This record gives sequence, structure tokens and C-alpha cells, in this order.
Amino acid sequence: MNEEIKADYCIVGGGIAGILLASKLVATGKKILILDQGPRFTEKDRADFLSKSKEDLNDFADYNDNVDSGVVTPLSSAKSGDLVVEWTNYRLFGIGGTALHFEGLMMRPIEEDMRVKTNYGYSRDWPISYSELEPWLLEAEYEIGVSGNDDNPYASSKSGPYPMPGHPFSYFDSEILAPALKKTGITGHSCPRAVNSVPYRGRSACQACRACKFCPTGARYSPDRVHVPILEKHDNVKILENISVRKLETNSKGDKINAAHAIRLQDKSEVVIVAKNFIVAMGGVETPRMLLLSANNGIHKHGLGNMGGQLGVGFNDHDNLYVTFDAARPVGRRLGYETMVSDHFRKHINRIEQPTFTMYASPAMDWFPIGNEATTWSRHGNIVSLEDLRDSLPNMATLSIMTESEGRGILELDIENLDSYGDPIAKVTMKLTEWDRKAYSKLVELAPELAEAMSAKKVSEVSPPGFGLGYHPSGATAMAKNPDEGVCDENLKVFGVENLYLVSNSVFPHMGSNPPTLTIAALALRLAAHLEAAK
Amino acid sequence: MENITRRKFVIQSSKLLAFLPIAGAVGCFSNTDSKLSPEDSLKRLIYIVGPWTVADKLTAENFAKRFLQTGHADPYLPKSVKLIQSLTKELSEETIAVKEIGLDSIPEEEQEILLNLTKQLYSFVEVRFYVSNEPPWGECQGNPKWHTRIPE
Repeated sequence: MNEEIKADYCIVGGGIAGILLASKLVATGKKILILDQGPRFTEKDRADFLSKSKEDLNDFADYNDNVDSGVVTPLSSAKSGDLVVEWTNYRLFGIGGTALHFEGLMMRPIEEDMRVKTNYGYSRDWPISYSELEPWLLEAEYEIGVSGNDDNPYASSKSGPYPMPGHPFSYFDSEILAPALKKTGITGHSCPRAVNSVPYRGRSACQACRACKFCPTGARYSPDRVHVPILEKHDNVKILENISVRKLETNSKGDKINAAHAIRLQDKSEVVIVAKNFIVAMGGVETPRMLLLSANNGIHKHGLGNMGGQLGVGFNDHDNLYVTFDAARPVGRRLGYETMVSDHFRKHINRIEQPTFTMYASPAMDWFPIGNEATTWSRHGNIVSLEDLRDSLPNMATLSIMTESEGRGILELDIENLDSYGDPIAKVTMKLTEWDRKAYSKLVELAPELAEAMSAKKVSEVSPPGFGLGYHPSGATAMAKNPDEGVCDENLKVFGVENLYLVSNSVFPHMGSNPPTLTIAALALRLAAHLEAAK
Repeated sequence: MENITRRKFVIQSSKLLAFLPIAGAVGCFSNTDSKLSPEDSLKRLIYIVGPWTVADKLTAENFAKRFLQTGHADPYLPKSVKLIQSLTKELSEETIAVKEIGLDSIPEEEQEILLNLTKQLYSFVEVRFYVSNEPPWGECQGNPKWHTRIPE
């Protein structure tokens, strides 16, 4: 007989969304079950990963390196062809999810990001306004611990200050970048980060180890270090690791989830979870995949909430482009992340014509592509000057942009590629439209201007357009006013299912050029309040 | 021929030329020894191309050892003997961290290998931090304003 677990709230996915949601629901006293198909990493794991990465000369070591990809991280596939580009996925499985290794960028959306269809004619509007979301953004900044200064002239309104001051600007920021930006009419400002600039709620300030992925001090927020330990102290919360939910089962009418069917990875035993409410918080790829895999014979025959044919539609990500500069003088050091950024091109750009983008620049000593650039630049005819190469490295800086995309991708089930359980993996067909590509053209135009403004000796070519590592998959289960426009309503309840909610970046109708994590956290807190009110 | 080779094949030793004492283990090559292994040849190449000074020879050895142990060396090993034999015509056995390398007399395929090795070496954060005299990755500085200092 299968093991059966009962709960009031079954949260599928132990990433930042699921954990923050649970951290607010815990006060209700209701039974909360959190499931994740990855492990609960320990502090020793982190130390071992860092140590092993040095031993193996693996600068890209990561949390899921030793996990069976067929079991825990089914891959996404992509077609090739006109306007269709490769897309990969940088997600993590485990308690803490992708926030285990995220960079901690905590930019907010701006008002215009949520009304792009109405104002500019592309993508989809959010069914809620910026002003409705804003209090939750502020609360998320305090829950997570965001450092930043209110010095961003391009930001939309804020109802309160950041909980911590921003990190001090680096030598490069103050002496090279800011003056260069100023010459081109751009203002540099602090970068909101989930990295402590001062001690915050028992965690230390950043100690400049520059290994942020494994953050030895805990200065960078990670759900498993901050909110999970609190949850673990409550008797009404149960967190299960290494358990994979395979399907959500609806009742005969198809309007309610009866149970979730799961498998424990270690012994392959089956588990049935019966709960009053189910919340799928599995990220931008696995959330839509779960709804597709849970199709039934009724109104959800094409996937849960897919009556309007919107499930998997509008899949989106950011395109990240970069250039490298040889600044011709030492650029100094960095904390492991940028301390000055600019939202100039989120505000001062014609969005009908081209996408917005956020702009980041910093010394590049821990940016791996400079080995390639410096070698190329140190070749003079048939002589490779290793002396030039070594001399130039401390002068190198990098500038990258994170660009908005139209969101023309599609996520569907790939019936030709199955995971270890025999279920189709998610297939993502990612389109980069002509409009999307205009961000690349803009950077091609901007890079030499900035190089001149900072008196740089050399500037590289702009990296080609594409979706790189797939940092921010979003949009495939959009929130909307009705099923013809999305998959869940403005309270994140799936259309046509009374007890199923979603929370992840998959619910974004549109993603501006800001990283999504803060918005995901805000939506989780907002959903918690809605569920509490609905009890 | 010797003069042409010399012109095309400019390799200047750095000021830090010095002897690496554990010759066999670290790959110091003797022109008279035609039996140098691919592994030892590659180690020697790493010392020539890399940034390490003789004072840090143990650091260089440690890096080369890990480079070979962890699969990074695989693309370079098949050509390393031929490449080091070409280069060492102009180098003393003890040379590390040369200032420049001439490509003319190196066969095209080996040129590509050498350039790729250079790109790869300087793509490691550990190597770049050594070049810039920056503390190792993961070592806390205990100073949140560490990045504001005027560079030396």
C-alpha cells in the first residue's frame, strides 16, 4: 500500500517562492507540507563544493553537479531554425531552489513593465498594477534582506527604504564608470542585492570572499539558510527532500485536485499526498510541465488551466549580452558582484521600437571570458606577447546588459524524450524576434561610446544575441483576467481548479529587463495573504 | 635556416628565469631527452605560458598537477611533445613565464593548440587572481570596503 500524507497546504517545490509562502502560512497553524525533488544541502556541502571546485579547477562547480540529470533535472530541448535559438536552464533542484546559487540581484519591475500590451503593443499586460504589487515588493525586500540606496532616478515609486544601505561603490565605479556614464548622459546608481552590506537579522555583512555561489558567511540570502531553519522549528511544517511529484490528480468533475502522486527518489516508493490546497512552486519550466503532465479527460484534457490554450504560451527569458574593455589602467577590485548599475535604458528607450535593458559593469578579474579576450588582444601579428597579456588583465572591465524579450517562446511536452520515470521532458522552443535583437544593435552602438568615455584602449565585440544559460525562464502559466489570456487568475488560482495555485516566474504575463527573484518573492507573500484571508 | 628560425621564433625569457628543481616531476625538458612524455611536455608548456614566478614554483606545480588530473589537459596532450620540442629550440630548460612567443615556425595546428592553452589558462580565476595579486577565491577579506581601494 502506498504511503499517504495529509496536509492543509501541499507546496510542491522548495525554492524561494515555496519557502517564503510557507514562512507566512506557518502562523495559521495549518499543516504545511513542502516537497522538493532535490536534497537539503548542508554547510559542509557548501564548503566541500568550494574546496572541490578548487581541486578540480572547476570555476563553474555547482550544487547539482553530482545529481542524476535523468532523475532530478530533466533537460529542456530546443529546435533550431529561423529566429529560434538554443535555450538551456540554469535552475537548481534542492531545498532553496535556484536561489541556492543566485547572484542576489533584487531589482523591482517598473510601472511600465506591467502594461506593455496597452502602452506599447507587445506581449501581455499584468492583471494587477505596480501599485498593487508594490507593498509586497517592499515586504519581500525586508524578508530577504536587500541592500540598496534610494538613488535610482529611473525607479518607480517606493513606499519605504531598503532595509540596509547599498554596498559602497568600488574604485572602478567612482573613478572610471560613473564619469564615463555621465559623459554619455547616463546615471549610475546602487544595485539592490540580497547580500548584506551590514549585519542583518543574525547574518554577517559580506566579507568579500568573491565566491558568492557558495557564500561561506551567509551574507547572501539563501532560503535554506534563513527561512527553512525557522520552518523546521514548527511542528505543523514538514519538509521532504528527494521526492518527485509526478502528477496532480483531479476529481471526476475536474474542478479540484484530490491528490498529488509522488515518488521518493531513494527507494522509488510511491507516496500519495492529500491536501486541501495545492501550490505548485516549481519554477519557470517545471511548473508548466506539471500542469501539462496532469491533464485529465475533462475540461483540462490539454493540461490543467489550459482551457484557453495558454499553457506553455509566452515562455520568456532574458538575453544577456556583454563586452570587455581594456581600460588602459588598473580598474581595481570587486566584491564578487557589481556595486553600480544603471536602469537608464529601462526608462529612456522607445519600447515600441526596441526592448529595455539593465546595465551592469565592473572590474573583470573574476569574469572568465577575459582570458580569451586578453589572449586575442595580446597577439601582435605572429607574436603572442604574454607580457602584454599579464599586464592587461588588471585593466580589464566588463559591461553586460540584461535585455527584455518579447516572450514568443513555447513550452510543450517532448514526447520523444522521456525522463527516468517515462514522462516527457519539457521542450522549449525559444524565439528571438527582430524586436528582441535591437537590444544587441543598441549595445553595438553604445560600447565604443562608453569605451571612449572611459578612455579605454580596447573594446571587444558584443557577444552574439541568444538566451545563454537560461537564467530566468518565465511566462508559461501566466496570470490573467480570464482563461483566454492565461492559466491562473490574479490571485494565482488556476482557472477551473478550485484548490490549485501557482507561484513562480512562470506566472509573469511579461518580464521586464529586471531579474525576477524579488517579484517572485513578492507574489509568494501576496499569495500567502490571499490564502490566509480565504480560510 | 637557424637565423630565420630565430627571427620568426622570438621567445624571450622573463627576468624571472630560474631553475625548477624537481626537473623530472615538473617537466623540465632536456633537448637531449627525446622521450619526454606528453604529460611532462604539457607541464612545461604551462610554466612557459603561465604567469608564475620562480618564487612561486610550487604554486605552478600544484596548478599543473591539478590541470592534468582533472581532464583539462585532454585536448593538449596529443600535441604537447611536438609543441614543446618546437618551443624549446629557443628556450633554456629552466625557462618559465616567458615574455612572448613567436608563432611563425610552429605548425598551424600546434599554433592553435598553444593559443587555446593560453586562453584556457588565463580563463581560470585562480590564474587571473595570481596575476593581479588578488587573494584566492573563497578567502574572506573581512572588509566590506575592500573593493574601494585605489589599485596599486
